[in-house]
Amino acid sequence: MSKYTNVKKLCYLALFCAIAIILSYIETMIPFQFGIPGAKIGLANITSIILLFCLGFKEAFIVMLLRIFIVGITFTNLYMMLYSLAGGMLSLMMMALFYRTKMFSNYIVSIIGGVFHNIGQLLIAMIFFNTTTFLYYLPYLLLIGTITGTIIGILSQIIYVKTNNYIIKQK
Amino acid sequence: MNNRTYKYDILVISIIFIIIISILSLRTHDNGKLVKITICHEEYGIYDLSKNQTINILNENILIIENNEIYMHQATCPDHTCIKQGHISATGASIICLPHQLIVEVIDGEEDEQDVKVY
Repeated sequence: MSKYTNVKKLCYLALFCAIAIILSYIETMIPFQFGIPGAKIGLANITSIILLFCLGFKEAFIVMLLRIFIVGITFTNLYMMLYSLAGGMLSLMMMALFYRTKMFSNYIVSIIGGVFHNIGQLLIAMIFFNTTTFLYYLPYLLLIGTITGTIIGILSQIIYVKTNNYIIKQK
Repeated sequence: MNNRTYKYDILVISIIFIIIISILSLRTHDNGKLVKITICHEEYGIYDLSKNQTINILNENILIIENNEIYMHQATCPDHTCIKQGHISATGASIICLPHQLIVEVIDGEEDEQDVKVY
């Protein structure tokens, strides 16, 4: 029985990974400029959120790492991969933290994800360039993170309500 | 999934917006006086913002200073994000080129005086 559930879970993770990669690719084709370069809507974050809500932090983390690695070596370059990795890891950790407390709605979890994705990228840029110049953009990045987080939160909420009965919680 | 409203939601949103507004209101909006170019942690040069000029940086990027504004005219990097950053003039604003490890920032000419300035 345990083998059966493991295979099922593996299929879900592979499926989500494929969806995340496709979403990342679609995102590169949408001309969605906020005025600050590198700011994007973060469609692939939908899969991270749904996996976090349905299966748990560990599964979401593995799929995110795989997604960033595959997208990094196929569509973008290594620089972008490192930035995505820093942002993605920090945002997923903070989302898991906020989700575990059960005090916040799913929209807030998504907004926190968007905000901390930007903060993570800002931190890695500051470490790379060894300068604090980028702190100038912090307020704009927070604002953009809030806006994109809300959009992603609404989208994931719609998808989560429709799919959460099919993705069985396996613990 | 429950749709009840959480009082902490409003708290989180307000904290984010308070941080944004406080940072934006606390900082100066004066135009800078100098342009500093840094490549790979090393200072490349400091230029006057009030003088119109074209700067060729290692045959990789062409920066133009015009009417107290700077913008990247040309770049050899693949993504051209430095060109998309447009015209900047405020103190602290910067143009960043990740592939070339290049930072162009507008700085206030009197940095030492700024620390002791009390209103």
